[in-house]
Amino acid sequence: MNRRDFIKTGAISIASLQLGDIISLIPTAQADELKNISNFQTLNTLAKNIKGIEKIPSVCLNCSSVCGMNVLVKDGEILGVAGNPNDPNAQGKLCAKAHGGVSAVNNPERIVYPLKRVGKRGEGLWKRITMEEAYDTIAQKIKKNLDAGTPEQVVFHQGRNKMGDITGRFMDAIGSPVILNHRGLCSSNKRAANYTTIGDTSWETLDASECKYLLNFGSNFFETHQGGLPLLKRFVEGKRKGLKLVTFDTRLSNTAGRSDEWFAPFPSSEGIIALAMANVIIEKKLYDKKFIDEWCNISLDEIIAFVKPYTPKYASEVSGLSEEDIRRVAIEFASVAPACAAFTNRGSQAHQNGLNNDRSVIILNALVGSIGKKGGYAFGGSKSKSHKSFPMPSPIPPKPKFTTDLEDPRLYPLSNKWQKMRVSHLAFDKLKNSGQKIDVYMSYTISAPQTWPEGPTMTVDVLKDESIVPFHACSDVVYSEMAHYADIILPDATYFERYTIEGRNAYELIPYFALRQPAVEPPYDCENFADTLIKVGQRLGSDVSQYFAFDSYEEFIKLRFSTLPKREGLSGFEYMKKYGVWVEDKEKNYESYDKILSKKQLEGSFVKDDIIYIKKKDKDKAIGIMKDSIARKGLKTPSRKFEIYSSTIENTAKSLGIKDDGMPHFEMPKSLKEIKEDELVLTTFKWNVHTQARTTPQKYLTEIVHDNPVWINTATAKKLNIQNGDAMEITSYRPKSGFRASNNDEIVGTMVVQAYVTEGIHPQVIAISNSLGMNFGGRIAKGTNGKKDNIPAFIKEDDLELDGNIWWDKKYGGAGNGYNPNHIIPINPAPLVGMQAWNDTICKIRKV
Amino acid sequence: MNDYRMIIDAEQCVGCHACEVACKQEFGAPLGYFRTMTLYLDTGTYPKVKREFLPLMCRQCESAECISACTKGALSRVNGIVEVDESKCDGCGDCVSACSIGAIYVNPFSNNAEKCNLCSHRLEVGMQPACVETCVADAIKVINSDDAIPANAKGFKNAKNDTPRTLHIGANELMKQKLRAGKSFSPLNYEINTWAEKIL
Repeated sequence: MNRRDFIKTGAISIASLQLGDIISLIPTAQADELKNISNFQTLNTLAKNIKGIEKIPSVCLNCSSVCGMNVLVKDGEILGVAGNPNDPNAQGKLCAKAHGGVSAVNNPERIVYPLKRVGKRGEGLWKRITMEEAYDTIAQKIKKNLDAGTPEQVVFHQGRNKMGDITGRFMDAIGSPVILNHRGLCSSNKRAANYTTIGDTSWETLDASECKYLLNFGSNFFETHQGGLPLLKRFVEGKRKGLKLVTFDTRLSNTAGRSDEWFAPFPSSEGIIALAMANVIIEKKLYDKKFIDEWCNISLDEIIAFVKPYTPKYASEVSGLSEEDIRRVAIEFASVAPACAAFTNRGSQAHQNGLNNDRSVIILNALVGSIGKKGGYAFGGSKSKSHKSFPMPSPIPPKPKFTTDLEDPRLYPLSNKWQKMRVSHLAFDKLKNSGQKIDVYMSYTISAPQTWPEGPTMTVDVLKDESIVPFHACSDVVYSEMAHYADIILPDATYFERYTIEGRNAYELIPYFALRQPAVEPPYDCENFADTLIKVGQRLGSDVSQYFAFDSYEEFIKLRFSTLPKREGLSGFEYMKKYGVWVEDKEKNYESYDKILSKKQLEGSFVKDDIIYIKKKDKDKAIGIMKDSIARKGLKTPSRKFEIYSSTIENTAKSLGIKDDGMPHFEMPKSLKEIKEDELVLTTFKWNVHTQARTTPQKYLTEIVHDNPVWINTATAKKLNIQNGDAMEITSYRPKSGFRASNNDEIVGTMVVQAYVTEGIHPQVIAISNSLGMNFGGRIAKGTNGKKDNIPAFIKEDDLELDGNIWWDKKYGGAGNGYNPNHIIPINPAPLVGMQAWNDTICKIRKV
Repeated sequence: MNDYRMIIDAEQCVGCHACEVACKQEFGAPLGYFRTMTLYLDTGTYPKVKREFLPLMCRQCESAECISACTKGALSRVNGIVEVDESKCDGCGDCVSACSIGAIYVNPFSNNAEKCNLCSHRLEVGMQPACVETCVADAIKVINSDDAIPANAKGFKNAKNDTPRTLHIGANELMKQKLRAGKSFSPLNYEINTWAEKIL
């Protein structure tokens, strides 16, 4: 059936559904036999209970933006959520994901009992066990490695964990440094660019409500972005005051579609566009000479020489944008400085040249002097959740003093330099092909079989192979893509049922933190994974158990809050339970680098080449810079200035034998530079109602987006005789530089997927979203009506809707549950940092 | 005396769907049925393309066709809002057929007509409707008799005789081709291949 037929058929079936036919799709026997949790006549809705509803302040975790929310509870049942007006970031607003997340709690396909595998790994046969048996089994496996002196063969793999305080403690206590994550799939080039230029290790925090001009290189903050909703809220405020938004993105995202101007550059050319804009800003003398003289680590003359080769003409040839547009936008941007900001995200950084793309963009802010300014490229001001602010309960386990190539790959030396960012998309390849040995693999909030490049192939192969992964324990809320390949599945608590100390880059530029707290208790055997780890830790002998001398994660959090001063006569913990958020009594953190250091801060300090140091653990630690004989804080870079030239990058490259002069430069990835006429670039993207992997079981979100045909430009489609809804085959290839480049003729994979023919994409690009095409996760995620799978971890009750109302079920002529493109996307770590170059995949397409 | 009226600014809308998910959660609405939807429309030709949004729900028409169509007396106006009296509704669907945009559906489980009522249960206790409360762009507002109506707010009509009380700012008339008079909102509007200006 083609797409047009589908719409017609679908419309008919939906029309008939509205007349009540849907009832006949639900077997009456089932309705009679089971106590159904959603039988609608008796449904306990928020609307019926709004008067006197209990509001429990907490923090959403349906994406990484962690917006403050009030959980709305009646008689122990969560009926909805609302924004927490006290949260300084989200300021009482929530997105669709936050509301849709409520259905995770009473999902009838939620795992509520622990399971032990009885069939072959990945066969899906399970036996229900007790939590005690689960703790003992995991403890016994880990104990073997402790006794054998091989703790590094115990691996913890986390996604959006947020409880690093306890999971890190656990790994330290057993002596294993091998914690894998997903950072290299997300933002490590972006973070590396901020780290090497402004010395900040988080994300920038745009002061959008005061901003007049935003140059957006590849961020889709209307739909995703870390802190996306808080940024969007401030963008809307700025917009009312005349803020102009210019977006560079190969695809018409909602952000691009609502920008004042949208430009679709050739993929990976963001850096050259930014450098050409720098060239124009210098040529037109629109730079901030004072900022450059005082705060840049190279001189104006050096900058003039540096930007000279990057002409608008050169940028136009590479990007396809017109010289006039590049000039005009650069001038418009610089003319309103310092209330302007140029920023990035995956569109610019998820390339082999992403680090330099992002550095080039950030430098625009330095040239016009908007770094740290009101309305500009602000940053910092977040409250650290580290030991310093919230001390860890004593005794504290020492950190392991060694590392392994699995967690700290020597080919990507920048990846772990400032924070443990890692290159975990290489982990499964290393396990399979480099003889890295592990015994215990614990996974938590990670869905590598689905979200990893080559996940459905390489990751699954490795996870299924018991000789490579001898034991796998997975804690999860639903029977997920990851849980399917486990030996023990632990029933996790949802984020509505547990504690976490939270916080994000502070969009008010005033430090704050928040508390996620249980609105209800975890049901049945469900347990916060933190509590599970504490119980496992207590079973590992006194060497380990000494670090887990508390009853629960709640007690651990209480201990961490113990140094908070009293507020309103309440202890820190009580105050946080009542309000959910703590805002420091401080000024907005503008121009933090210009702050004068106090006498106290300067105690024991000494000055060498204008940099102020103190001795810390026998090492010289830079704390500031002398400027006109005044001690100022400076930026947290080696020079304490904004670094256009980066000694960190020059030296790191040198350690690999790579020549890099430490200046940002533009180099198109080889595959894209040599792209042939019959080749296209495959890119991926995210929707506003989904995260990468964990939202598809949630019915109200997946109802909105469940299918992901491939976006293709109208003109390109016409050339290939492809019409909207036609099936097309995509064949992808390995990159011509980097990982496995010598095999660049090798086909990574092929997939047949429907075309979405649109004007909203670059003619040489095709785009497919992630998040979809699930094999597991329940009927909503799979897009199939019917009875629940027979897995002994589920409750007996069912949601009637899931056996009849999933209107996108292919059986009903619906669109189905989409495609997972990751089996055709090659593992492609960018140089130095290892960031996955998601948007560099070369492919060919044909109509089938 | 309250005389509520909803004002929707489509130019401010960011297309995030928070309003409709909050709405469905508020009422436990079945899959496939919507009190409110956010329609998408792409206009223009590459490389000059724009995306527009339109949050749409019952317009609480001044001379409401649904009220006239209901022979059971289940629909009536209260405080400016067209309300359904569940005790009188028999789920016949005459109101669905009468609506020119599709803002009413009959819940197949409860067999009651359901539609946006500006969350009157929330207004009663001094709260904002679920969609208004959550909207990051403050694109939806409920005003009362003393509040001024924005000069650029207009009724979004899909039939000549429509008398919308809810008013929109910046709604694109082309969105109308996504609507089916006399049939409830279609979830198929969410399929991305219905976003383009010319629906194939």
